[in-house]
Amino acid sequence: MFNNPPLAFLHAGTALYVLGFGFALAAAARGREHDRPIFYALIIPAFLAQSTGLYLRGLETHSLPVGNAFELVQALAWVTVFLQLILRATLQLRLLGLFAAGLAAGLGVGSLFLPSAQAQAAGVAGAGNPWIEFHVALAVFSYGVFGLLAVSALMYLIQRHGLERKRFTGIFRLLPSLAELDALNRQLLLVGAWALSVAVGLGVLDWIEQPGGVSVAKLVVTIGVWVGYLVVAWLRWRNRLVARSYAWSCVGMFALAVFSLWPVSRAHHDNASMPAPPAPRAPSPSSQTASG
Amino acid sequence: MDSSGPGIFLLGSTHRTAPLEVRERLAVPPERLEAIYALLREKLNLPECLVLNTCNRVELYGVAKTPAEADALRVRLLEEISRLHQLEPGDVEPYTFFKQQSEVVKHVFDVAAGLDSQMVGETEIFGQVKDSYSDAAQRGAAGPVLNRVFQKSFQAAKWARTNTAIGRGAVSIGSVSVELATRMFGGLAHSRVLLIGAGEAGQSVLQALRTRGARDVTIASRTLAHAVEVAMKHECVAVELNRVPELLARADIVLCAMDTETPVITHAQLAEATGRRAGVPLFMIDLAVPRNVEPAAAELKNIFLYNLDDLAAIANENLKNRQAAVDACRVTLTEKAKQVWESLGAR
Repeated sequence: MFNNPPLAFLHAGTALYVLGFGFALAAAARGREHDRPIFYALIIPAFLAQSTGLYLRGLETHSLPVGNAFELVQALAWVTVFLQLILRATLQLRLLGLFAAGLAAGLGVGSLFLPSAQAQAAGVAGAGNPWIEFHVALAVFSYGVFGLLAVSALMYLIQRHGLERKRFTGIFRLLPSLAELDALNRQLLLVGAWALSVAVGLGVLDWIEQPGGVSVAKLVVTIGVWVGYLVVAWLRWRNRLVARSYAWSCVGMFALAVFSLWPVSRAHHDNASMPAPPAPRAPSPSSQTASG
Repeated sequence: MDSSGPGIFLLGSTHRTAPLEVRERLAVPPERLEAIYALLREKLNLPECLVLNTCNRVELYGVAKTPAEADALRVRLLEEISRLHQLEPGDVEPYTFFKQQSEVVKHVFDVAAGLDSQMVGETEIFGQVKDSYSDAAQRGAAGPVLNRVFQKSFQAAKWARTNTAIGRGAVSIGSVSVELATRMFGGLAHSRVLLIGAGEAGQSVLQALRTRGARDVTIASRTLAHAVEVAMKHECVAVELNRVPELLARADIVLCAMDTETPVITHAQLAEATGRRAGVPLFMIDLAVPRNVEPAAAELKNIFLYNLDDLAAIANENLKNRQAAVDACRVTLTEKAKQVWESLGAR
């Protein structure tokens, strides 16, 4: 691991996320809010270590570091924590940091067990084409938003469970209100759905240009996740999916999205192994290669 | 008695030593405060003094030139205070306590932190102690000893509130209701409250909700005239009881406190209302005995029904948690008080 500095940074980041999450969870279990300076003294270095690791992986391939499942999951955790750090400054929602750190720790630890965890950086197919890179970046960003949405939906479910079961102590009294979490859930779904729609739109333009450049598995899974989130958003807008069922849908959809990364990354890997195109093309949406 | 250090002393009467009727007679109304300070400063010639007067305690703090002089002042102070209240010293003394030196410092720390309060951990006392100290300082009655003791007690109280569980959790029906409502709706400024029954119990919880920002309030009562009367008091709207089913669809918080033998809100009425609420949670507090809401309504989706037993159980649990924290808190406060006392002796 130490012969591979990017990997070492990513492992260090994951370890710090686990520590930060454990520290905050221990306090919450005792009904206390965690000591924020200590918590962020663990989470910010974790985020920086992860940023460095991903940056170094990107340098190796001169592309976004989302070339295999391991990198995709790490990038997903990175976006989730990044969004939480931004939201923290504006929303001040209690325990959102704890839950986001939990997701980052879970994703980070889970990524270590992926077959691609020890693989060299793969790079994104079509790297160098700004539209492809934009498409990939937007897709990863939207998945990060959905990650935070799942976190927030889980907090909603826990708070709701406490109120239904008349639990008043421990973590229940620290969580934000149902109304605050529901409002955040709606906003995150809207942002994520828009970002993913644009990413899918760019991907579709590429697919029209080069129908064989994207595997069917990737196409089906990506469109499936996108349609799934659109359906959830539409049902929420029509008030047909509300409260607990809406929160469960957000958690379930994110689990589905994470599992969908496997065929998506396989497609990446396959495409990255393909011979490079004969000549660079103009950076327009109609001239993309296969992408994430 | 410790003969070192300044001659700080305290003569007091609190809920621990005197019943309510005695505390009422010993209470110091604002217009009598000046006379008490005049007594302490001019008649007893104390260089420093402070009067702490709340609904549960009257405490006179003084600093004599020596501990022995402070001890000697006890009887005289009791006589003078009794005279001021037009009572016999013998009638007052059994309900008072006298403390000196390090015991006084420790007592101030406990009082400021809410450890000595009737409702352990309550925060109001902290403000009252601060106000009393500020008043004494403005009168020029607080000097170096009382300044140090009280300022350090404020720091210790803040420490206790931040680092222990003595102030955590609501312990009254009103505050438990507010905490639950806050867990559902966050701020209550946009929450619509429906109070069914215009009795004292409902009004007290309503008042707690209004204190936390609830503005849109409707009161329904069997007698419209009574509802109107209470509505005017709380600056809200009054309606007849038969409008309740229709209002259930738009309310966020429903307080039920009507004296009635049969439920006012049925399962069927609530089921119908929830169908029109688009998943918005409805928080129902049933304060009535017998209950105003059919218990089966709790099974409905997005209905959070709490009865009096539920609220009392939460309040009792919180109180138990506070009590459990008191011992640990007292140990630390005693240590902090000891350090302050030692620093005073070293001057």
